[in-house]
Amino acid sequence: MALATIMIIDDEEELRENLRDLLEFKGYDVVMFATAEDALSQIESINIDLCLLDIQLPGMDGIEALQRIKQIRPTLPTVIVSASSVRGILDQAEEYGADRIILKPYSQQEMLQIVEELTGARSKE
Amino acid sequence: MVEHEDGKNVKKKVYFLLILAVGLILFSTIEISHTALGPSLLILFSILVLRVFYSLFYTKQPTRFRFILVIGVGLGFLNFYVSCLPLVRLFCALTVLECVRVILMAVLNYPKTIKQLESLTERLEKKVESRTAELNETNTKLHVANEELRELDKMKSAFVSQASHDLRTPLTAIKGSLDNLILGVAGELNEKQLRIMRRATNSVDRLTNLVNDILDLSRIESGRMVLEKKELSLRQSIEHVIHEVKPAADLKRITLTASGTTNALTVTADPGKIERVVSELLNNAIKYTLEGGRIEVYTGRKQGMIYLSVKDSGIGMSSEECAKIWDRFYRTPASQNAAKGSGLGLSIAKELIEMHGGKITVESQPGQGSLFTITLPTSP
Repeated sequence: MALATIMIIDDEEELRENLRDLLEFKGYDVVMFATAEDALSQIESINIDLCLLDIQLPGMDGIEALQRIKQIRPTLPTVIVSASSVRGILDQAEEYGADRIILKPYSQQEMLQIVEELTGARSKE
Repeated sequence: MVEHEDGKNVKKKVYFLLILAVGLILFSTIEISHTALGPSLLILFSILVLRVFYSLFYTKQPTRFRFILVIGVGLGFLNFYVSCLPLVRLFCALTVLECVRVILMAVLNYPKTIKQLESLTERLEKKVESRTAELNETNTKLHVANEELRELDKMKSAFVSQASHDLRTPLTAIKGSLDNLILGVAGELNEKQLRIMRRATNSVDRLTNLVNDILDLSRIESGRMVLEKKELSLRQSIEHVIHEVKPAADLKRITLTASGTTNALTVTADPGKIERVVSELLNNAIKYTLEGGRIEVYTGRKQGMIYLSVKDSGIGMSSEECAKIWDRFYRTPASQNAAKGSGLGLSIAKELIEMHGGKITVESQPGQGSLFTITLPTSP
């Protein structure tokens, strides 16, 4: 039985794969999407516990996706992943209900800690 | 040759001539002119009169000046002529004749002189116009060049910002892959494999710091660096940074202590930026302090300012090095040989402290350690 199900929305395949490898290794289930549109089309049909959302996406950007996700699942914990530390964008993310913001380049340990905190799960050692 | 004199000079000359004319009248009254001194003085007066006559009649002057002059000098000479010796009278007459000739010539040449003046004025106006046009053209060129430079600067900042941003994603991927291997995602690593992975991770971290430094510098340069100020407990910030850098200090068995009146010290500052500066100073101190050394952080209040000092027992620097360490990309000879860094950290630290209205200074001597001091304004 998985600790929790994590949704990763990131257009960078390497980042998605790295996170999936880590999270699956630590006992989580992972669903991955390269675009916000794909993720939104399935968000209601999958039981997810946490969403890791990149801010810079092709098509719908992370901020808009965050708004939509929060409309559909207001209590779903969402982590915004950003390569930009421009205050305006990060403020917007906070305003629309991002539970955490993590800046690239993050370490896997940092990300794991955030996932554990927001899902309340204790990863496998 | 037409001379140009301003009105002020001509006025002076007219007054001078009036005084001269009155002088001549008095001169003739007391009959000094009958003595040997008379002719010499007369010659001198005549030269002066003629000089002023020439300058007045060959320049553009108000008619009333000429009129006053002619009347004044004429009366003076007439009086003088009546009371003088025949020889002096002859000289006087010649002078008056020359004056008359000057007046006649001026009157006869008046149209020509006016024409010359007009043509000169015209030429001058054209010259001024052409020079003004040249000046305007140069100004326009300068303006365009300035705009281009500003545009280039913007482009440079945008490029640096974009490049740094784009570098972060692959850096995250590399870092993520290395972290996964270290965390044992692909199976337990042996000691040697772990050492290799950690070397790679350290390099990625250095590269990350460099990218962050360049991005920060670009933000500072373009004025996009914004301070998010709030009431800040200096003690908390220091403790936070010490907690972060302690493992590195422990590795070199360096004693790291903090003392001073930290409890009461609050500043209105951007916590992230202040912590970054303190972290830079502490990391530098750790880098340049030999094993078993000592680093002390002091805080206090002095002359209405709050200060924070980082004192180490490290290798120290010469006064020349102290003067250069704030320069971008400057690295001391010791840092080139031993520790690794971008050469931007202290430069950014200085900019950040100055953005807070504070100052950062260094005192050091080779072999005697270094003392870095940050001074910040107290909270209002």
